[in-house]
Amino acid sequence: MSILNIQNLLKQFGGLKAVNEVSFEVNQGDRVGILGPNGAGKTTLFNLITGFIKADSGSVTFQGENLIGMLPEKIANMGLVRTFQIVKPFKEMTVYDNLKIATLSNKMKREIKSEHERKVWIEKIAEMSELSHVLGVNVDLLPHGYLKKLEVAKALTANPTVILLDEPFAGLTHQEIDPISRVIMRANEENGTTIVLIEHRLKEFMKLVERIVAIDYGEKIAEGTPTEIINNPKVIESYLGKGGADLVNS
Amino acid sequence: MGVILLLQSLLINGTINSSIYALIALGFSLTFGVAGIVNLYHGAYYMVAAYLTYVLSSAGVPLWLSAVFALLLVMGLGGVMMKYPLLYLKKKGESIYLLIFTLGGAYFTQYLLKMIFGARFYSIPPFMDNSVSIGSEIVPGSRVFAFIVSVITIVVVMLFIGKTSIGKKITATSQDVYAAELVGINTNLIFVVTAAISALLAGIAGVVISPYLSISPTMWLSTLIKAFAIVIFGGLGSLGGSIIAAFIMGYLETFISLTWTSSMTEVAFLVVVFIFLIFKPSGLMGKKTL
Amino acid sequence: MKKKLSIPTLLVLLGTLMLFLFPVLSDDLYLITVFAIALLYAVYAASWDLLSGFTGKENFGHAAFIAIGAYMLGFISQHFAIQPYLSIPIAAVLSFIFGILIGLPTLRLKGPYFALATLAVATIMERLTYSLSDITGGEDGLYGIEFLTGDETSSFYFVLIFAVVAIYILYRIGKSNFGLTLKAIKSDDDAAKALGIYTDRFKVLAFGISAMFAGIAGTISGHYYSYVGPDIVFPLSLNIIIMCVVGGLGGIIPAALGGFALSYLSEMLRDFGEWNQLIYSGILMLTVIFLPRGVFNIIGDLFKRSKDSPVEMISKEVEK
Repeated sequence: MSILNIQNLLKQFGGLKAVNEVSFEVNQGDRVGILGPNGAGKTTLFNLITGFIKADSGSVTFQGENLIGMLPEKIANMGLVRTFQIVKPFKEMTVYDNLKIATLSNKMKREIKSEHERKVWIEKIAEMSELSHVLGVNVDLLPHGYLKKLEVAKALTANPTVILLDEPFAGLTHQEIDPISRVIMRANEENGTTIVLIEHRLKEFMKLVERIVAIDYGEKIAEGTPTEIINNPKVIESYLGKGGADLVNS
Repeated sequence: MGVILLLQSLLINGTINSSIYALIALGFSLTFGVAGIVNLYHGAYYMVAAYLTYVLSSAGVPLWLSAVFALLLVMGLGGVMMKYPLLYLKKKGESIYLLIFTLGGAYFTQYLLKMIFGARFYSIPPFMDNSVSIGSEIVPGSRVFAFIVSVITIVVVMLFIGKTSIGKKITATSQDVYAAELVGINTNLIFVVTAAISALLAGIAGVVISPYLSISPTMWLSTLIKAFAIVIFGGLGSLGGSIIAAFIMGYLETFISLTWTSSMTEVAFLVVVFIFLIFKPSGLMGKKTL
Repeated sequence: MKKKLSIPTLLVLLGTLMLFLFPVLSDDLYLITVFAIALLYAVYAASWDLLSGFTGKENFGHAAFIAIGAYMLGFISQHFAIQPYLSIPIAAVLSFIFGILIGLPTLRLKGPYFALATLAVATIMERLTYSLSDITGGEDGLYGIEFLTGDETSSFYFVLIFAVVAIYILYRIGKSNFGLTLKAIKSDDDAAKALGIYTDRFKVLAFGISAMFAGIAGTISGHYYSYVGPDIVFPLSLNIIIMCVVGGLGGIIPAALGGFALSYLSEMLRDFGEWNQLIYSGILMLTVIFLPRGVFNIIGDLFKRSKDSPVEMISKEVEK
């Protein structure tokens, strides 16, 4: 059942079409990946979907409503939450308080009936995100790997229907990636959260997603299962350049 | 007042006032454009230069020499301010501390000067004694002198920045500090030099207006507010914008004081600034171009 | 398990208690007046902190809010002897609305831009006060305002109770989820939006609350002196900033303490004449450089127990 439907989304900056008539659908419970080299327009796509940048044309339908022109806060309150590639923790606060902010939106205030419930919810997310042991720590003291985890945890604390993760693995070692991967899988399998994920670190990405939308130069160049995508000549070329497909096949 | 006479007065006095404003605003804009610092101490250079010139000249030093010494001292003050407290605070991050420190410093200077000189108004003899008639208006020599000096200074500064090697380093630093460092520019030195030049510009303005406007410990505040207002209006970071804005505001102020009352001119300045801040904070000329 | 009261809290409570007992133990009317004024400054400072300390938008024209409360009282008092129980609610509503009116257009502004905009508002008000002297009394101000109560001592208690209540309310607001959200917005506006926080609403509301308390305090100040005038209102913008920065931002109480302490200090230095102002601004400059966190914040930090360092915590996790 389609939960997020993107149709012909377009954004131009001057003469450059950063996102050029991109369309794809996401069904409830899916784990979809957005793949593409640097500068392909993936983050711009996320910004357009979540209202941080206003699209020039096209539509983003979420839970039956068109999101174009809506404030990012409103979209988040509808259940569509995003994370940022460069982490944005709330400084000078503990991990607990960082997560708490996510429970203070209008949506969450409706869903959580008491301070006790809030505490229980935050602790549950913290446990699922493997952050329980640092709940009382000030985020200014945490290393990057933990901050990336926190970035995902914050979004999950908002109890989203769909979560858009912008390069959650950027800048991490393989050891650091595994826990975050686990958290994402847990959210999807236990809570039914729909996942849309941008990455260009292929190995981890492939294990996590069921379907991939490949982007290059602002356009969708392919869509399919991980196996189909890595064998797709256009995708290979977007990473290796012209003739790259032949290079791989030879 | 007949329209012709009004226009004439507006043109003459407006131009003279605007050129002074341009001088002051230019210095303010320079420090922001290059070092990214909003230096609320800027008005104090204007004031200190005036007082120093007074002190030296009334002690018997020839007027010209007094002015030169005063300006050199003020330049030094500007450089020292940048080198030690300002750069230190800039590195710490939050701009509020810079704003508060520089504003506090200006008030400190005000209270210091008040303690030393008292609250009375001072003046210095004019640099140019003879009056000049333009049309039917008789313009005091000191005002003409102020105008000439301002214009020459502005032109010299713009040429300095555009043509000399230091000027180019300043421009580079204003565009991208890291890139400038990568190509070997000593940006800290550039910041200090820029601060000294800014102080000099404000100081020159303070010295040339002193013969006809009074020297007092509170003279820095309304100058600072006007400079800040002009620079915002013109676009923080754009030198050309500051100059254009200075002329627009200068003519506007002169117009208001000729047709209404001079006590409302500051309100006019602030209302213009407020409106710009709400609707177009990037000002007339927008982004950083120097 | 009951939380133990921390030492700083105990000290503050002790100090407040001493203020309550002071008129009983001493009849030094001069000091009572000094304390009353210092308490008003504490409220001014606390109200500034809620906006500027919490949201990071530093208001350079806080005097405007105080002026609304003070001059509203002044205007009305010229026509009829309005009592505090009436003037205070009016001040609350008027200054709250005014705060919202200033907060809305300045939403997008930050740092020096915001400082200039708020400074512009306060300065315009100040100039108009001098120009429209028929209504505002110009530089002479307005007299004939009803006193708070019949005598000095009960007026002092009025102010004391008001200050304690006001500062306590502001403190609780600061510690509440609302205050936490303001800090999150200050830290990262976009991240807060991404979690569904309507950041604009929070910022404007903070403006309204900050203005409201400042306005009420301004009205009370008018009743206390039986006078309002530009000399006691408009210089406050900078003084309050000094008090808050020296005291410490982001916790209401440190700022309030800063307000109280510096007001008291200023009064004690009054005999030194012009040195007073010089020392004041000197303290500001030194604090900004050497103690930017604020005197009372730093004192509070000294008493906090250090937690397990995260390095140890994380290595424990790795060992598992």
